Amino acid sequence: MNRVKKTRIGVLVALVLTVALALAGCGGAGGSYPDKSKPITWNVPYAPGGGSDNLARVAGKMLNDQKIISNTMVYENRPGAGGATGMTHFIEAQKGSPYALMTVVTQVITPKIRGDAKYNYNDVTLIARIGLDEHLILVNAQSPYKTVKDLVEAAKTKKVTVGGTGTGATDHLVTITLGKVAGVQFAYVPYQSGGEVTTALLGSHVDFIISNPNEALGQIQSGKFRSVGIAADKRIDMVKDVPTLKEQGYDVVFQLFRGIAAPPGIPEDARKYLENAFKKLVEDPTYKKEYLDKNGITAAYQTGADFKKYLDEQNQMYEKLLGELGLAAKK
Amino acid sequence: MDIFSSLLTGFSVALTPLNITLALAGCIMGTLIGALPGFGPPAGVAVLLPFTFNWSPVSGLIMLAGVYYGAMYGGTITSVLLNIPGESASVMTAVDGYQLARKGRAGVALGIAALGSFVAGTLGVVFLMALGPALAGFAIKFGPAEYFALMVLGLTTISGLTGTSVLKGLGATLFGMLVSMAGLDIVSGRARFMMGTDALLDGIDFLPAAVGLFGLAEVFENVQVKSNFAMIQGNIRVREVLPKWKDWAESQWAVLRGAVLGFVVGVLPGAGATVASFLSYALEKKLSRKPEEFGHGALAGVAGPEAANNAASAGAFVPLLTLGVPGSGTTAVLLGALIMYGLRPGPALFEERPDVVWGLIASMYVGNVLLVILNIAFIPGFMWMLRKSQTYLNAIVAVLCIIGVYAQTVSLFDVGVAVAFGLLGYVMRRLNYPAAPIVLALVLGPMAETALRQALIISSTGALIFVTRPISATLLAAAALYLLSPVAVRLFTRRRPQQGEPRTPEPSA
Repeated sequence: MNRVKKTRIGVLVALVLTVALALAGCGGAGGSYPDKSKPITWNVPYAPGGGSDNLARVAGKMLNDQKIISNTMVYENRPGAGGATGMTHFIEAQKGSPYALMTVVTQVITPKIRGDAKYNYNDVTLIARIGLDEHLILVNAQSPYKTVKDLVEAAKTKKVTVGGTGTGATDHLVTITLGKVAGVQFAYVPYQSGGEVTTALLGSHVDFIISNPNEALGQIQSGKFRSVGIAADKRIDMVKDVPTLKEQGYDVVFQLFRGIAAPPGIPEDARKYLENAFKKLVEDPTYKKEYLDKNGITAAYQTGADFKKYLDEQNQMYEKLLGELGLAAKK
Repeated sequence: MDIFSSLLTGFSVALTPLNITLALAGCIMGTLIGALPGFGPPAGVAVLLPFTFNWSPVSGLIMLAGVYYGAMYGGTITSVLLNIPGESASVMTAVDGYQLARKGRAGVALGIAALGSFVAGTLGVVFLMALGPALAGFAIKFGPAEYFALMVLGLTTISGLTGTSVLKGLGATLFGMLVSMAGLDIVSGRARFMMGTDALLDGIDFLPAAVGLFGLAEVFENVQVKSNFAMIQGNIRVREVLPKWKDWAESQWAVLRGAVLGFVVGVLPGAGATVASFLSYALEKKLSRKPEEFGHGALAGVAGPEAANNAASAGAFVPLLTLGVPGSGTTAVLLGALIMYGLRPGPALFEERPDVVWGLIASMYVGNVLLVILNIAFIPGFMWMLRKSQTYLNAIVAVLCIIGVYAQTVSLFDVGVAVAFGLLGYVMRRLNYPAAPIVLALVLGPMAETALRQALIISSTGALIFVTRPISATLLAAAALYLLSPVAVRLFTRRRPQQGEPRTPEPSA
């Protein structure tokens, strides 16, 4: 074959292949939701190994195992800026896609208040609230403090230090609220992560810390930490003999909500499907056993619509607290 | 149960065909992950985590741990061959390792690094076994004051690492610290040096800066100088390429010192392999009989830091297993993995699930053996790569740098940062400023500043806290000693002037 003919055949083959590929690509669309061949991507705006990451992976696995959703689950961590980086990417890059989910915690409230992000919970499709994480007040088992009152009394005469995950973080807000209610001030020492906070208390570098039950459970069980109070409505099973702050005379209830959201602009039938899927998930007894009980999280299911109302209230509270700290961006 | 019988149980768990395969898989993937700049062990472990649910928790852990310390071996490869440190723990390896490669001795550098990593990694596991719980008790005594003192020690040693001019090294260090201040400050809660954009909210990340300053700057310089030589000329025989006994004899003490230093520093949550690697470099340079070689291809300058970073990764398991506290980014993911497997790390784990703990420890021995064999076997292959002309390597390096940064950060902004640092690095090279201090200060600066402010919040005696606490006082004294030792040496030698020796100006530290 001479060269011209070879080239012509080559071009023809390339054309045929391209058309074939294009047609094959067209074939996929138009099926009903959910297309089982498409993977669902969990966007976790925090580092792997943390609470949000854990929730995403456990929930994803359970949805598969209990055959509620059979699409493959893929996880992407995009930490940064207190969750703002991941959230912004989620909203902008995944707009309209019903195959992306995001774990929701404070990143849908605080970054916008602080001026670190353009978006908040109004810019995503809320699917469900699936739990409330509590806050435990912990001291080193060898410390002399046995109740919250001891800490408050001590703070009246000397510096009482509390370790947390950064100025403006939820544990800081709990500290401030408790201080206001009790009429004292605690010296808040910020650390970079929950792990560092735990280490600080292990070494008795701070007098107490405020931590989610899940993070502290290992130390509580091994007897290194003592829990002196919980900022919840009522006692939780994981630490049954820990009195609430309310019982001890300090009306402080502060919970960290955990929920799921989809990108903005997804079709209504996809949203309904996802809402039903998560409703089924939280009613499943394995969910209670493997996630809620194991991590000390209180069951607190809310539909997307109710979740939005709850977040409106939370938003107001955070605005007020952050404003008092001087961290709210000027409007 | 005494240690040996526990260890035997561990080996019975680790030496099953499945677990050996998983350890090998983990090591290979870890090596690749460590070699590729950008995709670091935390991300690698996180991505592989879902697959491990197919197996038992021990097996999953064995594979994931293999990824972790495999990455310490892998980071050496691109550091030595291409002057791109794959992660912060490999920066010091790049300094002398790459110079050795330019002299055609890449095989020796890689071989000694692999052997050193093996010896130190194994020693690290031995220390983990024997001293783990005791050291954990020591580690938690490190509060903010102690960390600050350690960072001060680290920062003072940096300016001495550079070789040409202490002043230039100091300048680079200060610039690195300045750059490190951009971003969200956890103490005040406010963002600093934002330059009007949200992109800097997390500050300047180590990776784009390092890749730019080392990799891209090298490419720019090579292009400008128009070098197209190959680092290895002509044919080479395999036997000439591998390190000789003489090379090992030269490095063995550096390896041993690096192993001990690395393990101790690695136990400290947060400090880790990076700090360990350049404390080791500084130590080796101070103890060497030929300090002027450092920066131009001193083997001890590769052996020490490499040993230190491997021992440090073994050390990082101490707080994880004994206290349930993660000491580094990767161990944080491993902690998450343990929790997902249903295991709760902490003192209880040793008693409740000795098979998991000792199986993991035993597999680390196995993994180190596998890695040293793998790495040495591939040396001829790597040397082959270096026979290509510099022109091709420049292209490969440039592409790897850009892709590596984007893969890690998925942000074009960070790619821009890498390019900017690349240009800066090029200018610095022409003006003979050292680049390593910038990246090291970028890592240490924030830690030092945060620790300082935390310590002052905690202290009721103001700044006195740094000298009233014994560990912090000791570390600060060591830093002072390091700074003053050249002065002290000069004071003594001036008293006994040698015949015919001209009075030289300030010697470079």
